[in-house]
Amino acid sequence: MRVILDENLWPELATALNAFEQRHHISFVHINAIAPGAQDNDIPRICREHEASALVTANVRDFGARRIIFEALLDAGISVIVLRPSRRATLTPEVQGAMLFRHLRSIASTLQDTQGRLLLRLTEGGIVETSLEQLHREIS
Amino acid sequence: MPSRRSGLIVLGEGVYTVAEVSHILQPTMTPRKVHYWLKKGILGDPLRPTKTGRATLLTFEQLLKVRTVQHLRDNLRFSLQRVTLTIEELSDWVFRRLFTKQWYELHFYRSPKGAVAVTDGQHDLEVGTGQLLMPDLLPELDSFLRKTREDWERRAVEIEGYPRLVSNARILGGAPVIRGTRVETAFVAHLTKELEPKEILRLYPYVNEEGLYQALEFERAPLAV
Repeated sequence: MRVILDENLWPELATALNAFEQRHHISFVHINAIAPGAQDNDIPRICREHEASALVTANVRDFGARRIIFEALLDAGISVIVLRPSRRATLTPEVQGAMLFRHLRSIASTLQDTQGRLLLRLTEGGIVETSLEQLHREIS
Repeated sequence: MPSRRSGLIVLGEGVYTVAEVSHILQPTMTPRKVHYWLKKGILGDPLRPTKTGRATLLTFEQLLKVRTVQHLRDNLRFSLQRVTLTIEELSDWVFRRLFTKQWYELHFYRSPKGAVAVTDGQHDLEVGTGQLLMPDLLPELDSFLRKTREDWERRAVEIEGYPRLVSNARILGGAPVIRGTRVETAFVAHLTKELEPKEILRLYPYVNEEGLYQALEFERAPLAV
């Protein structure tokens, strides 16, 4: 299984995470390496071309408004993993890595098991899963 | 092409809170003004209406409408007694020609009665301003509307004073980003809580120095209220 890292994530993170590809059966590619500055509506195509099922991104501001974009990505068939900062932690490359490494096994198994598309919200505290249907209800 | 719609938007359309619209259209725009024009019905129905605990959401087209209304209002200097009615009538006429498939070349001119008028080549609308206007204002309004039409077609607006930044409805739903990237101004500002700008440039080689410093300045700029 493959996952694409968005441009706000540290570009070297893909290489670091790929050291565990065999162990968790999940690989990562950074979007800047394949489609720098890509538009939102190109992401489903880019994911298909690279056999990726999810996009990892980070969001530091109004999650409510940004969820509309995540809903549209889920609607287009792409799961979204979003890193959210805590009051204590800035999303520096180290924190981005720590959050993803800590939950790598869980992310891989959730994406493998799921039938539909999911929004996975990653914080220092853990992972919160939201289905497209739940997201529709929360937003509308 | 946008995907099918079952959510609030399809990918490639923008979505903006009122605060974001004001931030992008700084320094003169305020949330209060946006809410006022919304309440007057000039901007059309919001993507998601105001509800307790949830932000009002606007489309990219509505962002351009806010900018246009403000520009026309500031420059045409309508008499205070008639400003709202006139701007409502003028905006409605202009928007029906600006945001459609067909391209209308709109042109402002002085009518024989001395009033300001706008034409699409076939139909004209005359509006009274009650004020003296600078002679070069009318051609400036023509080019402003042409630019607005171009922005509508490419779904992107420049951010005044920050040439390395852009709000593109097709990138992160219109969140201000460093031009040519998907890196939000808000994200790099967040990183500076722990990282020096030089360190960010080293870690993110596709972020250029000028873009980074403009993003930081844009995020630090005080918001009008």
